[in-house]
Amino acid sequence: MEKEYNNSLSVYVHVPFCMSKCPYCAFYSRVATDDDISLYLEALSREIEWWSSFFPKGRIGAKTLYIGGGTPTLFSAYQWERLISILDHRLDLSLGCEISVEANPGSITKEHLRLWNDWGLTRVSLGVQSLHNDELKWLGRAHDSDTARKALTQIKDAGFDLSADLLFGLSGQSMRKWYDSLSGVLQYGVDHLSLYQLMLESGTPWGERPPEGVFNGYPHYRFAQWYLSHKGLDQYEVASFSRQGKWCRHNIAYWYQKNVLALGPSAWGYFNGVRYWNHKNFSDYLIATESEEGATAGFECLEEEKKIREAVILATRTKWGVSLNNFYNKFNRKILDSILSELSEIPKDLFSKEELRVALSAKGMRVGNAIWERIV
Amino acid sequence: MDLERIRNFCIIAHIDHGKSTIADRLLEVTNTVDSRMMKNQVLDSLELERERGITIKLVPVRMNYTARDGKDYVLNLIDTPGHVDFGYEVSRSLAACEGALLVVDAAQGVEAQTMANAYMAVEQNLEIIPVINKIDLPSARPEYVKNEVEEIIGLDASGAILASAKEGKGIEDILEEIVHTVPHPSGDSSAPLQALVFDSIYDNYRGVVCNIRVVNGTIRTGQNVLFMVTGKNYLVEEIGVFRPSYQPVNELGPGEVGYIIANVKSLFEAHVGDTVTDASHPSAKPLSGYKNPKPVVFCGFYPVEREDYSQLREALEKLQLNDSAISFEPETSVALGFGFRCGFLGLLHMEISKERLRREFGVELIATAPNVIYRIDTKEGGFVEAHRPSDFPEIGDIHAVHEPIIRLTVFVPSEYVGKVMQLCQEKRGEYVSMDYLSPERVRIVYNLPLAEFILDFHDKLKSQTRGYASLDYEHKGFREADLVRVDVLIQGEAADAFSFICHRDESYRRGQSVTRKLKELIPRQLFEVPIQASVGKKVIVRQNIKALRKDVLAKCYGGDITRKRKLLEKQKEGKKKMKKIGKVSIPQEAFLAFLKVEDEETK
Repeated sequence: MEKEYNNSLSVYVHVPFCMSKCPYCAFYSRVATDDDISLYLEALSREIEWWSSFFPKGRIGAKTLYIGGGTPTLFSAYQWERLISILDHRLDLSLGCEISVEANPGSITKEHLRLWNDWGLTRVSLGVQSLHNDELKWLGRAHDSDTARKALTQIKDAGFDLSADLLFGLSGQSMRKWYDSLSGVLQYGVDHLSLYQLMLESGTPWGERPPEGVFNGYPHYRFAQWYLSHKGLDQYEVASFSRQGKWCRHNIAYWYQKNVLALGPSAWGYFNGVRYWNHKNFSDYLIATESEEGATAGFECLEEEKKIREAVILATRTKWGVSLNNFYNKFNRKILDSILSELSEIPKDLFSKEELRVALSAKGMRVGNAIWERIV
Repeated sequence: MDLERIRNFCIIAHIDHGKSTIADRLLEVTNTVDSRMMKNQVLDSLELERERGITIKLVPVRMNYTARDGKDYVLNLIDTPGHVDFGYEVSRSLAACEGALLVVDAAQGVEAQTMANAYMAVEQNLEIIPVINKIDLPSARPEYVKNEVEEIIGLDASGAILASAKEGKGIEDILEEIVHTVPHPSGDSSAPLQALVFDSIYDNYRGVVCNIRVVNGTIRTGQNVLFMVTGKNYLVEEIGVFRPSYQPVNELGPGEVGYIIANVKSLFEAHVGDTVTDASHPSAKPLSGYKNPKPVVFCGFYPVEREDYSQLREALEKLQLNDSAISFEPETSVALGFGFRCGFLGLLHMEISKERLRREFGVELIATAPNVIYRIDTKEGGFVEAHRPSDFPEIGDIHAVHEPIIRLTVFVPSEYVGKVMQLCQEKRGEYVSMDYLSPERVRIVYNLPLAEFILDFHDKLKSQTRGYASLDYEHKGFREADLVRVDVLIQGEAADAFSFICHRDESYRRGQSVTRKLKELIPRQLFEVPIQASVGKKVIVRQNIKALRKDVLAKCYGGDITRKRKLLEKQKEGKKKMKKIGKVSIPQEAFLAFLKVEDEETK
C-alpha cells in the first residue's frame, strides 16, 4: 500500500469558513462574508502561484487532492467555479487522481454536485455526525437527520464515492442510537466511514467548559469494529472503515509521511521530511501570501530517530502497518530494531499475525495511544 | 549569688492550656522582654512551634523580680516541651527546678498530660503551684476545675491561682506565689562542681550551647570541665544567662541556671542528663537520672527527586546537630531508591522533623509509613532486631516475635467510654483499668502495641470522641505477639515498598485493603496485572488490574500529527517518573497513598 505512493504528491486545501462554530471543533474556521471569501480565494491563488515556482514548468502534479475545512460547501457555485479555476491553473491532476471534498448536509446543493461532476471530483465526505435530531441539536449542528439523509441520497445518486463522518461519545447516545446511525448511513450506500470520538479539546468552548454526559466510548467503538466488519467495511485505520479499495488515499499519504502540499490558513503540509504550517489567523494569512516568504508560518524538521519513531507510529495507525522490507530499506536499521524490540514487550494479541509486517489488531487499535506512548 | 534569692521553676500543662502565653506574660511583667518587642510566645523559638502552638525545644529564661516584700529575686523559668514524645527531656528540665506551675485550662479541666506531667513533677519532688488559666472564657468553671485538681491529681488546690494570661490577670499573684512557695535551691559552692545539662542546642554561629543548672560548686570562664557521661574534657569559653538572649557572666554558682559554650563539637558530646564537673577536682559521682533516649518510631525518608539524595543527607546531618535524638542510616528501596531509615522519639517528633527538613532545609521528601522495632527470636536460637519488614526472617525461621507496648491513659467524657474501649480493642489493646474520676469523666488505661498506636490512633480517638479525649502514654517494654510479614507481589514480583507487619488475624483484611488500594492507583496496563498479598509463600489475597481496553484519539491528519506526537511525548515523560516493578509502571501516588492505607480502610 505504501509503495504505491512513493513518488506521489498530495494537495490539501483548507477552506476556513463555517456558518457557525461548533462547540467541540478545534479546526480553524470563521464565520464568513462574501468579501472574506473573495479575499481568501485571491490569497489562495497567490499561494499556489508562489508554490508553483518551485515546480518544473510551474506545474504541480498531484495524485490526491483534498478540499477540507471548515465548510467547503459554504461556497456558492460561483465561488466554487473560481476555486476550481485557481486549482486547475497550477495543478496537474493525474489520471485516476483522488479528489475529495468535505461537505456539510446543511449547505450542499445540486449545483455543487453538478460542478464537482464536471470537474472530475471523485469522493465526497459528508459530515453526518449522527442520524438523531437530539444528538445533532446537542452538538450544535445546523442540520437535522432528514437533511443528512437527503444529502446522502443526492451524493450517491450523483455517482460519487461516499464517505460519512459519525461521532460517538455523545450525551445520551445509547448503543441502540449508535447502531441506528451506523446502520442508517450504510443504507445510503456509503463505502467509507470515519468514526470519531467526541473529544473535548482545549481551545474549544467545550474544552473549557465540558458539557455533561460525555463518556468513554469504548463499547461504541468496539461495536463499530465488529459491526462494520460484518457489513464488509474493513477497518483500515484507527478511525477509518471502508469497502475494499475505497479507502481515502489522501489520508494514507499522511500516515506514510508522504509529501503533502497544504494550502490555506492553518493548513499543515509535509515536504521532503519537513513539516510546515501556514499562518492560522485569516488576516495574517492574507498578508503573508503577498510576501516573498509565502503563507508558511513555521516548520519543524525532526531528527532522524524521532522521524523514524513517528513513521512507525503513523504506519501502525493503518492495517498495513510497518512493512519490514520497506522500512528497513528506508530507515536506519539500528534505530528501527530498537523500536521494534520495544514493541516486542507488548502482548501479542494487540498485533495482527502477519509475516514481515507489524500492524495492530482490532484490539491493538483500541489501545493505540498506550502502545505509541512507549515508542514515541 | 544568695541562694535564698533564687527560684527555679517550670511550667507544666496539657497542650493548649496556655503555658506559653503565661510564660510570655511573666516576661512582660518582669520587664525581661520589652513589651514592644513581644512577639507571641517568645520562648517557642522555632517558627514551627509558634505555628503549631506546641513547644518542642526548651528555651530557658532568667527574670529579675522585685517582690512585694521589697526584695529582689532571680526567677529562672525553664520551659518544657509539652508532648509525650519528649518525656525524657521533660524529666531533665524538671530535675533542674524546685517548683512547677501546673497550668490547667479553666474550661477543659484536667487532661491526660496534666496528670502525667504533674506526676513527673511530684516524682522530682517539686513544689507544685496550681494555676487555673483562661478564667476569662465564658465556659470557664474554675471551682469545678479546682475540684478536679484535688480529686484527680490529689493536689491541694485551695490556694490555686485564678489567671487569665490573655488578659494579664493573676500574673503578679503567680510571681508572688513562686517567691513564697517554691523552695530556694540548696547547694554547696565549695563542693566539687556538679552541673546538670538539661538541654543542649546547636547554634549556627556559636556551636554547641549547653543549658545547665549548677547543683554544687561554681563554674567559671576558663575552667577545664569534664562531661561525666562522655568522659571528655573541655575548656569553658563562655558562661552566661538567658535574658532570654545570651548574656555572658563570669561564673555560675549553686542553684543558678545558665549556659556554657566550651568548644563542644557536636550534640553527641553534650547529652541531655550529663553532669559537668571540674576536670581537676571532679565530683565523685554524677547526678542521677541520666538516660540515653532511644528512638522508638522509625520510618524511611526518601527524596522526591532522586538526585536530591545528597541534599537530604546534608539536611539530616544538620538537623541532627540541632536534635541529637534523631538517628538515621542509609537504606534503599526498590520503589523509592536511595534514602534513609530514621529513628524518632515518637510520632510527633517524626512529623516535626519532616516538616523542619522541608522548611529549614528546603528538602521535599517522601516518608514511608512509620513502624516500630520488633525483636525476633529465631528457631536456631538467634535474635534479630527488625527495623523494617525486610529485616524479618523467613516465616519458617521465626520462633517468636516481640513488639513494643505502651501503657496508654485516656481521659474522656463518660459518654465516649464505649467508643474508646472499642477503639482500644480494635487496636489489640489489653484492658488495664477504668476509673470514674467524676460522674462525667473517666480515665481508661490500656496496654497497647506501639505499632497500632502510631498508625492512626490519635486521629481516630479524636474523631470518635469529637476531640474531647486526651491521652498520654509511657513505654512498657516488649510483649510477644503473633505477627507476620505480609508481602505484596505485583505481577509476581515482590514490591518491598508495600510489605508490612501486622497481626496474623489482621493479615487478610489489611492485605485486602492494600491490594484494593493499589488496584485503584495503578493505571491499567496493556496486560492484566495480578496483585497479591502473601504471608510466607502462601497467597492470601489476589486482585487483578484488568488490561487497558481503550486509549485512542480518533483522528490524525495534517497538523494533528505533530500535536499528537507532542501529546504522546508528554504522556511518556509522565510515565518515566513512575517506578517500574517488573513490567508494571507504578505511579508515585501509589507509594504515597500506601502510607495512608490505614486512614481509609475503615471508612
